[in-house]
Amino acid sequence: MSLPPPGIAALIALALMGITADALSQAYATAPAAEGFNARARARALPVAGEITVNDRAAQRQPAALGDAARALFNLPGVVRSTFDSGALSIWGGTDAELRVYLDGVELPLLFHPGGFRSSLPERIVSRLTLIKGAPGPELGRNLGAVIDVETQALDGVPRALLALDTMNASGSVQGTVGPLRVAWAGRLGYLDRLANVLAARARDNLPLPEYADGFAKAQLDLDRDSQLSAAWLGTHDRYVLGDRTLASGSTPRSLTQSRALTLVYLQYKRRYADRARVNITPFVSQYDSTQLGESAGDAWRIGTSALRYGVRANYRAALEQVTVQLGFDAAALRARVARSGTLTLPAREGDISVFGQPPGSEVTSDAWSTHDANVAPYGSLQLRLGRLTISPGIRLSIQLLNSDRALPPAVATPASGRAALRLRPEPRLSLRFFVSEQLQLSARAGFAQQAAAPEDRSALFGNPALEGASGFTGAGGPRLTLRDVLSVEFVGFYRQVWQLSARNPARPMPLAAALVPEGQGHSYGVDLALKLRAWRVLDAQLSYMLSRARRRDHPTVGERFLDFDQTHVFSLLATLRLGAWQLAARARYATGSPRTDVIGSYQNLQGDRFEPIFATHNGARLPDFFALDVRVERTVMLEDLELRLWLDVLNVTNRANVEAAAYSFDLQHRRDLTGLPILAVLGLRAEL
Amino acid sequence: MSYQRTLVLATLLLSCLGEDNARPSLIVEARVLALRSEPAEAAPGERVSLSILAADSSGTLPVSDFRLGFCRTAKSLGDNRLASDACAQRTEQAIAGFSAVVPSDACSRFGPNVPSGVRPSDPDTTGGFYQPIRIARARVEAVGVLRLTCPLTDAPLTITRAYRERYVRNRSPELSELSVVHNGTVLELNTIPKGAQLDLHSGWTTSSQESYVLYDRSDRSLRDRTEALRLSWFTSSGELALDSTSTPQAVNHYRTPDEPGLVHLWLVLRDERGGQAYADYELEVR
Repeated sequence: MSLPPPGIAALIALALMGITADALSQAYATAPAAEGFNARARARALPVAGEITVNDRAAQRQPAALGDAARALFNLPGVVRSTFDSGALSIWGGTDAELRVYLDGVELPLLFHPGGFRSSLPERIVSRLTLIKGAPGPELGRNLGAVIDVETQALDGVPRALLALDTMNASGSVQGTVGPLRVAWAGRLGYLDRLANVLAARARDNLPLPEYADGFAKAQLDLDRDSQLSAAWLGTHDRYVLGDRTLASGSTPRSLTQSRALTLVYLQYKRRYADRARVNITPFVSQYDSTQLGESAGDAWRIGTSALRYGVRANYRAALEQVTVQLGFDAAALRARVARSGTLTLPAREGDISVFGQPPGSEVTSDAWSTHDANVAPYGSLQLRLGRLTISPGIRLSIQLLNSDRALPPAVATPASGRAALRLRPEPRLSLRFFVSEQLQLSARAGFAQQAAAPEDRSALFGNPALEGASGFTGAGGPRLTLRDVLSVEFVGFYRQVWQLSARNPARPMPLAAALVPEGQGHSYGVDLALKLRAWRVLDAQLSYMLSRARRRDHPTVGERFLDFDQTHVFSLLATLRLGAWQLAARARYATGSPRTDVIGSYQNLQGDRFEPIFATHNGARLPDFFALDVRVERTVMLEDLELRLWLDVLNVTNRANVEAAAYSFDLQHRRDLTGLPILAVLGLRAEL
Repeated sequence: MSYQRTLVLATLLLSCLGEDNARPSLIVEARVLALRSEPAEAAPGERVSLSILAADSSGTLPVSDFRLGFCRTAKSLGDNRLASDACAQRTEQAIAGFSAVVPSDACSRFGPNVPSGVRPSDPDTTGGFYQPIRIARARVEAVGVLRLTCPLTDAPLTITRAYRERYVRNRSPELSELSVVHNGTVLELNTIPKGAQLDLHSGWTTSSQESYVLYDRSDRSLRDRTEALRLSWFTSSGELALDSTSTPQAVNHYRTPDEPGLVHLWLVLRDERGGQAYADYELEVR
């Protein structure tokens, strides 16, 4: 089948989008009134169930945020606590691979640095973060699960400077004007690895301490009173090496190395019309390179990915009397080159069973392949205001072009042949909101979504070039009660279903180019509760709770199991006391232990001189429950225009030994617990002019 | 993101794992230590002689207690372990005595000889394919392997021909003699002092470390490689400093027990192509 190259398709999409936007702006030119620039800002003004927005300034001062606003995401209802708080985000029973992060509408493939202590977004660039836990509006797509929408600060041209230092990194930012441009720059440099090396010899070999650096620059230009052009650049890099460490007597040294680099550039054109219509166009390009290298028991595995993303997002929105119309175009292409060698089982996938320290399989292969995919998605929605009821039906037409350079493993006397596939899927979305009274609102959202198979999964040897993608449905709804802008309580029930997920193929004999098959399916359901007390005297508080169940079935012939991220109860309570220049805050967290698979026996492997496990029911057991208390103390001093803020975050203040995984003796006869981080203090100073 | 999660989790786990007191080199209960095949590599239909080394804290165990069997069920490709559950937990094709003919379909079950449209097994880093062999007796289960001589099926004809001409089947490695040194003096094995720190010298003969040709699928070429070998040390009592060594003439420190008595010492040498050699010694501690 012959398909236009994705790049051409994207250009066609861009042209069509431009025509559409212009035509629509003409059509609504006579409508009255004007309003703000950001098309998504309006959607945020009408939150429905499953959507939460946090602003940067409040988020970065939350306990355990360590001054990083993105870490506030871990405290939101519906977010599962990740093992070792590693930064992996599982929301409403979805995996982190089903999550997408957008920075001003542009996909951001790297949100947290290893360990989850820091995001890739330097200080002061974030204005707000919005978490949509499922079924977002039709303007967002290409993933099955939640969306994190990060909006950067609008630049006002007022000169400002920031310098922040803490025990992990230094960061700074400046902003002001250069001629007609409003400009801002922000950067961050991590030095925890170097500091730890100074304090303790060979610390770098024994602890996964990442090196990281982030930079962000943005310039804004007002083209006229109603239109604005922005250009932004984000560069981020992280790397760590976990070097030779003898895990236990008799085990062989192993090492893990990961390095990642992202460069992202985008433009944003915004225009508002006198008729309250707005146009927003965002072309972007990004280059993301990642390499992972592992060595264990003399075997090595490596996976390197180089991914070029490019595309354009365009949105037109017009508000009439009782109707708001939204039309747009979301086109993105991904060209990936992947090289991988080693065993099929590393890196591990969700649902893989292994015990800690178990060497990878001895069988190895290698492959290098490339993919070039494009997703072009025109979309539209209406927002109908019918008295107390607002109905927002929408549709996104996902046109997915998938190209792989190889459909089968390299073979003698057979010329290499690629594979192309076209997949068209409508993705209907709906949101509803009904005001029972001024204080009580009922809202609901539902939608179907598609997610293309990842390039890493489409090797003819390690995966399956015929994988196209998975589908999913999310529905959620519930009441929200607001009392005098002080107390709000939101209760949301949700249900998610996903199917055609890529899963390992257990068949033996196995067909060629089918190491993964689209046979996985899963569902999750539950309720989450968010209670927020805002500025009640000197107290702010936020309580989050989720009761949920997440199950997966990897193949039709096997039984259901718990998702690796399944946690029945996830609870967190944040409280902040503002006492003049002092701020005292605490966070308490409780979560059900994550599922794990017990070892019920073993046999000797005489080739590798080790023991191999015999497993019990897949994810049939659980780790002990998790609890942690974190505190934060902050003192703010104003010296004329200079704001000085000294803060201390203490994580796991009770030094509780939370069990995060199980390890076994060499003969797999004795189990012992691996515990999480002990009490950890981070001290920081922030000066802002 | 899933890859990121995996790596982060793995490394965090690595960082938080402390030392394990259990020592693989100390034999406290019955274990199979080695499976040796002669020849060390065989083609389907060829006869091989098998021998095993098994031990417990009282010494070397009689091999007649053990049942051997060829595995017939291949594991799934996504399984990290050596063998399928079926192979590890029951004898699928019994071997009478310690001599057997390699199953004629071994290269199709566990190797590259598969029908068109079927994915062959992946070779190990030496390019080898293996027939698993189950060894069991009451409360002891082990799986060893026999390296198979299978044809190269996925290489260009010229390379296949060159490979066939150059490839030399693996031979079992040979252990060098053990010597026990105390304060610079070589001791007889029946005059070992109690509570002493000894140096144990052993390794392998120069002919053990063979060169072989390997088909590299990443660039479709033949490469010459030299085997890596590993010597595993076991004892029934006392404490060995290292559980394994990987140099031709290795020195392992050994602290003898504080009480006099008979101590068993076993050495198992493995080359990376599946060849094995072993030796057992009795040390009289006085």
